Amino acid sequence: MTTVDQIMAEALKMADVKDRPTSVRAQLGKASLAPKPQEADAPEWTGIALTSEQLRARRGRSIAIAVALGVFVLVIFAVTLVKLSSGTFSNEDYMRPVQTTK
Amino acid sequence: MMSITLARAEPSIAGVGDYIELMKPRVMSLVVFTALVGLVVAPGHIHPVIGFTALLCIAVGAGAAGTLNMWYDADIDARMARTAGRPIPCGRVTPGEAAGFGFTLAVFSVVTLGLLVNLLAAGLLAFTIFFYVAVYTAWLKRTTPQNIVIGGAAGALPPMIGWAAVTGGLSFEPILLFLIIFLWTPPHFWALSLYRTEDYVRAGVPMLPVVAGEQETRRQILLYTLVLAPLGVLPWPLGYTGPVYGITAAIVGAIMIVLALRVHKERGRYGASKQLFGFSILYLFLLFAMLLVDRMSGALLGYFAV
Repeated sequence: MTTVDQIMAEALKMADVKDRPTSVRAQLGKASLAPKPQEADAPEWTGIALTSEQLRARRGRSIAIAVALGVFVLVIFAVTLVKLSSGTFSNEDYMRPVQTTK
Repeated sequence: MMSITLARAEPSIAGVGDYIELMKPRVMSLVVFTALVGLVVAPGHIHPVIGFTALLCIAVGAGAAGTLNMWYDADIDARMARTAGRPIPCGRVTPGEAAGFGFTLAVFSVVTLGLLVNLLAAGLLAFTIFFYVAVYTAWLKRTTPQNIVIGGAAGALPPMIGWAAVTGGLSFEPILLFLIIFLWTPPHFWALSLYRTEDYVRAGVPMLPVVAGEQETRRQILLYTLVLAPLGVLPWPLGYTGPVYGITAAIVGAIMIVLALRVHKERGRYGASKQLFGFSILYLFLLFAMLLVDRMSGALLGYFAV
């Protein structure tokens, strides 16, 4: 479990406390940032270990998203071809040849 | 020293099947079918690729509406035997995941339909999703026994979207198709609610049998069916379809009336209600299938005559 204390400790380590106004420094100084004894002994958190069920579900979802995106791209491509071939995108001004001077 | 503990989200175990279930595939199939009929019977021509795109967007839009309905109604679903096994009450999908999925699909389907087909069809699809989620699900369902009467408009709109996808406009014919589904909805759902009344009482949903009692519900089913049956035949005398449709609509409409009469006479048993519920699905399917057959056969005859 992540506690607010841990998050605060990380944030304060990264912050340059010396540059803060005196009042803020005094306030920060009151906060105990030292880990509790049981937290110090706790093993380092190495990330979330997924169960086989969670891995299987995630793989299924990833494949489904890939298929859906593939279908979406194909639909856009096919409709673009249809609209191009039916002249939907042909605009008189756009298609007029550029006049050149000799 | 603060001691608030931040709960870390558990990795999801939701499978693809759960997300498909959220989209209510059976409702989706009926929506796609009626939209297809609207698309085919509309005058004019639509390129098959554009037509397929329109149907795909309508299907995804219907799925979005179903997902958002399940998200909002998770508390009700958990208390009803028929819906307690859905992904959110079971805990397989979190409400946040369902909401994100539903809103994403809704936006994608409407924007894609608007960009690739036309704005009227997209506007109608957006209105359908809004009506189903905001008007029916969030408002009417929990407040009035007329919930499915008014809310039925959302389920009746797909043929109009299909029609609009082809023509870019609307006329009386798609409105007639809308009215057929609109008037079909009350007898269909009230027949179901008659033998599921305990579920609705437990969930606190004011369905007609819960609020007005069984006899009033049976009377309303009969009244709506008496209006629905002739309306179902109307496309034939108006010249929109041929006799094959007209005769079929008259026969299945007569069966609907007979079943509604049996429901009206029934006391304390629900055999006729179950029969009416089952047949009403077949009724709507046959009506729209005949519209499709009529138009396709006309197109084929025209093709071979040339």
